[in-house]
Amino acid sequence: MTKVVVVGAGPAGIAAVWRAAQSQAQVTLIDPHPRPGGQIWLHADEAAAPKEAKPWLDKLDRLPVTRHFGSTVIDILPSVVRMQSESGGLEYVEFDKLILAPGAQELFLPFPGWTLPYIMGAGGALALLRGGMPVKGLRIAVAGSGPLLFAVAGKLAQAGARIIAISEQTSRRRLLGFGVGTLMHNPGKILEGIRHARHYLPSPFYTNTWIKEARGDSRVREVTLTNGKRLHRLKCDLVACGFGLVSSGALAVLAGCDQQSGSTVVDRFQQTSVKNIFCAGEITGIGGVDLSVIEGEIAGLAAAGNESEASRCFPKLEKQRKFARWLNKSFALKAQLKDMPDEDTIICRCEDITYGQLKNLADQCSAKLYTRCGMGPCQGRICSNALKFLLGWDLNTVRPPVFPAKIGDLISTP
Amino acid sequence: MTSKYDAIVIGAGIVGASCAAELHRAGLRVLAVDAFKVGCGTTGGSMGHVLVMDDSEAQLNMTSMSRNIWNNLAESHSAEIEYNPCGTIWIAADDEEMEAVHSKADNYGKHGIAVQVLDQEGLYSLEPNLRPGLLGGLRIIDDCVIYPPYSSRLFLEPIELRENCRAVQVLDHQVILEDGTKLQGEYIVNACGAAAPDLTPELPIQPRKGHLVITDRYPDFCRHQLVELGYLKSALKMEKESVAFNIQPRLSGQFLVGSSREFAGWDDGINHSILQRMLARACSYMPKLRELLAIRSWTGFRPASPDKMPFIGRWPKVKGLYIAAGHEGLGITNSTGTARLLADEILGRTPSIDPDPFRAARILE
Amino acid sequence: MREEIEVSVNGRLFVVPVGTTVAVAVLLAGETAFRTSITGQPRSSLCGIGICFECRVTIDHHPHQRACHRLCQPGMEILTR
Repeated sequence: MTKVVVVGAGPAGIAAVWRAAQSQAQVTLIDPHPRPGGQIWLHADEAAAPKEAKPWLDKLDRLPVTRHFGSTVIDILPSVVRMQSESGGLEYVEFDKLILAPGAQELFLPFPGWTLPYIMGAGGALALLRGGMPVKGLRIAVAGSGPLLFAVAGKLAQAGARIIAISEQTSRRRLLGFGVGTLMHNPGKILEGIRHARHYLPSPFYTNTWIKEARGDSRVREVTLTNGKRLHRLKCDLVACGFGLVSSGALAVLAGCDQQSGSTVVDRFQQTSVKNIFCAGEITGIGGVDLSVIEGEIAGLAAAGNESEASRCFPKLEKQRKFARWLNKSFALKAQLKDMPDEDTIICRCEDITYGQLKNLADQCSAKLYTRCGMGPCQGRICSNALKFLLGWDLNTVRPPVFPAKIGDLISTP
Repeated sequence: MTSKYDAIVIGAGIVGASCAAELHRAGLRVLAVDAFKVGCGTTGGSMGHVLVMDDSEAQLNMTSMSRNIWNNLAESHSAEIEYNPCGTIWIAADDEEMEAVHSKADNYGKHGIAVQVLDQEGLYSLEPNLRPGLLGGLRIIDDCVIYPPYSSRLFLEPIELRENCRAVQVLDHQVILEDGTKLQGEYIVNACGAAAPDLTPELPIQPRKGHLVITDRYPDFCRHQLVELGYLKSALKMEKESVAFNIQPRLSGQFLVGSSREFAGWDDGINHSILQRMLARACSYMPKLRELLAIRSWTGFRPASPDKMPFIGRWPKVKGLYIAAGHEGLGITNSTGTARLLADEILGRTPSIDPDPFRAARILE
Repeated sequence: MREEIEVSVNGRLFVVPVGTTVAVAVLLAGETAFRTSITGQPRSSLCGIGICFECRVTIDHHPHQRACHRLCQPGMEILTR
C-alpha cells in the first residue's frame, strides 16, 4: 500500500485524504490545530462548524486515516516528516508520497502604528473571535483588501461589535466587477456575502481607501484612513486589517520545491518539482476553497497512483482557476500602499527592524546579514511577505526547524 | 581606460575586509570585490568567537595579536561590532582534561594572557547550568564575541567595494572579472576563504563544514563562551566527522550552539545525524539546553588547511599576488592579525610576529 | 453551558470556558500586551493562527509559548511581559 502523508487538514487536505483513502492508500493526516477544518472551516465545537464544511468533516470522520492533530511539522527529510506532537516530543512519519496543503496566511502590510496592541489581522480577529475573544461594544475598523474583510465585518458585528468602517483598497469599479464576476461563476458566494452584510450594514464602507496611520498608547485608540487625498480620523478600540492572502509555502521551500511568484509550482497532477511531493490548495496560489478542494482531490488521487480518475477533475479545475484569476485581479494591491510605512515603521516585528534600516539594502539576504531582519522566531513569515510587496525582494530562505522546536526534541531519534 | 589600484582584495568576508581596511589605513588605494556580498559566506555563518589559542607558539602569537586588535577596536566601536566581552571557559570533564587546564594556564600565563583556573565550585558559580560532576575549567578572561557581518561592513566602510562581482582569474598585477573586465593592481590579495583555490589552484584548502543552531532569547542562561576541552581534539584532528560542545551567549540573549566538523564538499544541506550528535553532545554538558527553543539551524564552510595554519603572504607564482586564506575555524579571530601581517609584508614593515609559519609559499616548497 | 476551568494570568485567577485559547484568556484578563518587544514596545496577537509569534507568553514557566496556539488547561499559569 502506498503511504500517503497529508499535511494540513483544511479543505485541500481533507479532499486529498478522502481521495487517497478511496484509492486504497494508507493515509496519515497531520495538522497543527486540535481539530480539522483549516482556518476557513475551523470551529470551536461540532455545532459551530460551517454548513458547507459539514459533509467534508463527516466524510473525514468515517475514513480509515491516522490522525495527528495538534502536531506541527518542523522538517521534511527524504521519505520522512518530523513533527512535534501535541504531547511534546518529536515523532517521525514515513511517506511514499507527501501532500502539502498548509493553506494560506494573511498578508500584513506595515503602516505607522501597526504594532499597537489590538491591531490584528482580519483573519486574526476572526481566529481570536472563534477562540472566545469578547468584542461586544468594541468600535472596530476593518481594513485592507479582499472578500475576507466582509466576512470578518459580518462575524464581528454578529458578535456585538460596532463596525465603524470597512476600508477596501481596491476601487469601486473593480469591486463591482468582482461582484458581477462572482455572480456568473459562483452565485453561492453572493448569497454568502449577503448573509454577512446584513450584520454589518449600514457600516460606513469605503473603497479606494487604506490606512494612513494608527495611534494609541497601551492599545490602539484611533485610526486614520485615506484615499490619498482626504483623511478620515476615527476613534476605535480594535483594527482588523489584512491585505489578502499569500501562500504558506515554508514547508515546500524547505523541501526544495520550485517556487514562482510566491507560490509552489505544480504540474497538472499537483506534483511539485520534487519527486513524490505534491501540493494542493492555497500553497499553489490563492484561489479559494472550491479550487482548494479540487486540487486536493487531484493530489490525493494522483499520489495514490490513480491518475486516470485525477484527470477527470481537470475541467472543474479550469473553471475555478478562472475565478481565482478574477479574484486576484479584482483585489490587486495598488502601488500607493508601498508608501504606507515611514522611516520609523517597524517591519520585522521579532527583531524590531525599521523601514529606514531596510529600504536601501539590496535584498533579503543583505537584510538578514546586516540587520537581522527576518531572523526572529517567526523566521520572516510576516516581514518577508511585506518586503516582497514593498521592495520586490524574494521571500526568505527556510531553514529547519520550520517552527521553533525544543533542542531536546531535535535530538530524539525515531 | 582601465583604472589602476594599489591593491585589489578579492573576497569581502571578514579576512578580506580586514586586509582591505589595513591597507587603506596605510594610505593605499584599495578596491574590494566579492562574487556575492559582504560577509555572506563563511563569515555570515560563523560564531564570531574571538579567542586566544595555544596549540602552537605560532598560533598563540597570531591569536593573541589578533584578539588585542579586536579588543582595541571595541573601545571605539563596541556597538558596531556587537562586542560581548564574555570570555571563554574551557571545560574539563575528567582528570586528563583538568591536567590540561593547569598546563594550559601555565602556557597562557607565560605569554601574558590573563587566565583563571576554575575548580569545580568556581565553575558552577559562574555557570550553574552546566551538568554536575565536571571538574573545573580554564577561563580566558579577555576573549570576546563579535558579530562578523557587522564587523566586515564596518571594515569596508571607507573602501571602494564591488559586490556581485566575481573574479575569475589573477594574472601578474591583474584581476580578470567574469564579464571580462580587467582590473590593474600593484598588489592583489586572494582572500576567498574556502573558495581561494578557485583562483589559486595550488592552495590545498578544503571546505570543512560546520553546523550551528540559534535559540530564542533566554537572558543569563549562560554567560561565557563555553567550550569543552575535547574541542581541541575535534578541531585539530583531521577526522572525517566530529562534534564538540560549544555554546555562545549573544548580546541579544540568544545562544549559538555548536559545533561540528566534517568534510562533505560544498553540500550546504543540514546533515541531520551530525546535527543531532552535535546537539546531544551540547545537552550532555548542559542538560537544561533541552528545554530551550531552537529557532534555526544552518551550515558554513571553514577553509581548512592541511597543517591548521592559514596561508598569509606573497604567492611567488604570480607577480603581485598575495594570499590571506585558509583560517579553518579561526578566521574571525585571526582576520585582524592576518591583515596586520599581510600589510607588514606588502609595505616592507618589520613583521609584527614571526611570519614564517604562515607563509603562503610554504606549500610550494 | 460550556464547562469552565480556572487559570491564572499574571498571578490573578480567572475562570474561562473549556476550549478557550491562552490568547483569549489573556484578553479576558484585561491585559493588552502579551509580550514586550526587544525595543520595549507592547505587543499583542496579530495573526491569531500561530505564525507571527507576537502573542508569546510564559506558560507554566516555559517562556516563548504562542498563546493563540494553546488551549487553557486547569491550573495553567500564564505570564505576560
